[in-house]
Formats: sequence, C-alpha cells, structure tokens
Amino acid sequence: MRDISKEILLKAQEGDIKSFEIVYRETSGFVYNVAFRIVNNRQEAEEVTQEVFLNIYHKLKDFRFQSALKTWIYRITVNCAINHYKKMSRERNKRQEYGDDLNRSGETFTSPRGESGAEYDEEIVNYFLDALNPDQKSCVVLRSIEGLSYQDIAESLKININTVRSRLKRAREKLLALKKEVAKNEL
Amino acid sequence: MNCKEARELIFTDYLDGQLDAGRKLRVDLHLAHCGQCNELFAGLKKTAMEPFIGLDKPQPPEFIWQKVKETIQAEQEERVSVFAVLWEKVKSAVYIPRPAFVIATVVTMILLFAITFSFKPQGKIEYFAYSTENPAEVFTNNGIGFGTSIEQYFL
Repeated sequence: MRDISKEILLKAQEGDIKSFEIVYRETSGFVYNVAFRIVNNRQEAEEVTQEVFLNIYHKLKDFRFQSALKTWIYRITVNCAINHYKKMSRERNKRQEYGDDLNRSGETFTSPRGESGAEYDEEIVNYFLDALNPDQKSCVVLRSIEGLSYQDIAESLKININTVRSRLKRAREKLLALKKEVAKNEL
Repeated sequence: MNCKEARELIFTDYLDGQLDAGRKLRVDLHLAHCGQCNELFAGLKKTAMEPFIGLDKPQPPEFIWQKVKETIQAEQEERVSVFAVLWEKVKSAVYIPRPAFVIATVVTMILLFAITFSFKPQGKIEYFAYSTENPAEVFTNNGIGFGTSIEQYFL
C-alpha cells in the first residue's frame, strides 16, 4: 500500500467519492486477502470486503489520524470477517442439525489435490486455518501472510502484545498436531 | 537458557524474527546443542512458516467497488430525499396562502406605522413652550418658589 495523503483522506472524510476510491484502490488488496483467509471462501470474502468499505466510508469521519490508517483498516477488516465467519458457522451448524450439509468437522485431510507446490500450500493453508479459532486465525493471518509485527498486530486487534504471542503459540501447536495427523492419514 | 525458555521463544519471537540480537544469540546457542528443540524449530518452519510464504494474493474483483460506490450513492440520494421530504412537511405545516400572506403583511405594516406616529409627545411640547414663555411661574412654583437655599441663591 502506498501512502495516502492527508488531503485525500480529509476529502474522503467529507464524503468525496473520488478520494474514497483512491483509498479503496490502495487498501482493497489486503482487505480482500485478510477477509478471504479468515472466512475461507471467495464469495464470502467479497461480501466482507464490500461491508468493510461501507464501514470505512461511514466511520472515516471519526478517524483522528492517531493510529496508522492501515492498522485501523486491518482492525475493521478482522472484526467484520470474524463476525461474518461466526454467523456462517452458526448457519452451518443449524444446517448440520437438520442434516442438510456435509459434516465438515468429520472431514479429514489426506493428500492435497493440487499438483504444484503452490496449490499444495494453498490447500494445506486453508485446511490449517480452518482448524483454528477466529482469534488465533486472525493472528496467524496478520503475522504469517500479511507480515505485520507483533506490535502492529496488537494495535490492530486492540490486544496486549503478550496475548498476540500466546495466540500464535497455541495456533502453531495446533498446526503441528494437525501436521502429525495428516502424516498419519497419508501412511 | 533451558529447553522450556527456548521453546517459548521458538514458537513465537524466534520463528518470526522478532528477537533482539542478544536473545537471538542465546536461542541459537541453545539450538546448537539441543536436538529436540532443533527438531521442533525445523518442524515449525516447515509447517507454520513455509506454506504461508509466497501464497497467492488475489486482487478483489472490480464489481466490489461498483457495488460499494452504488450503495454509497444510493445512501446519499436517500439522505437528500429524506431532507426534501422533511422540508416539504415543515413547509406544509406552516403554509400560508400567498394572498393571505400579502394582506397580513400590509395590515401589519399599517399597524406599525400607525403605532409609531400616533403617539406624539404633545403634552411635553406644550409644557416646554409654556415653560420658555413663563419661566418664572414654572421654575418658582407659581411665583411662590420652593424655598430651598440653592433656589434662593439663584433667584
């Protein structure tokens, strides 16, 4: 993301749609990617992205330049994506109760269908992320995919830096356990 | 550094390159002679780091911006129309037909004019004229005077 000038932001705060489009063009890439990694579904990620930018447009008036714009947008994105994910999970559980859906929790990851290394990584990352709870998942996404520092993650999620550490540690312990399970299933 | 301390850091700061040089060196030294921690670090790198590096980062489809823009514009139009409806309601609540308004304005102006010019200070002017013509009577209480010392002095 390139820096967005304060002038553009002030215009966008006043509701100028052209300035807001500049904000969108500069930030929509990471918003969409974070949303996609958290909800693990392209269509849902598109809905989250749309919701995030409508939120940004409405809340931009209250942005006081005390935090970095990127950190602020990450916070809105993660909150929005987690809410969406929880809503989806509730609906999925309801469908499962009525036997309308596949029992995803019963699915096991045996061997990746992707042929290239990139496809394998994509599938295994999706599988791993799906096994994490939303809080752990957002920390892993912000650190391992977006490359944010622990301090930036703490600021984005409004949590203590040690909470970031403990969530990452638990998530990685879970990933190691899953990896062992995958290896066992492949034998 | 013992294994417990090292493992805490291997799972987080060391793996993510967030350690300062001094603490990193201490973990490096521990890893140099601890096979178990080394194995953990290698496993973590393979599982929790490598698959995430170089993942495809797709751009959002263009229709998302179109939808966002349309929604914002629809909201703006709705806000304008809400104000328009409110203004119409206010207008109809205090609506006065034009001829009645004109008549009311004319009557009000006539009344204001009449009030302004009908209260001439006639009495004061007459009194002033009388006092200038007969100062002795006015200022001496019909020639009797008021009996004050200062009056005596001037008279």
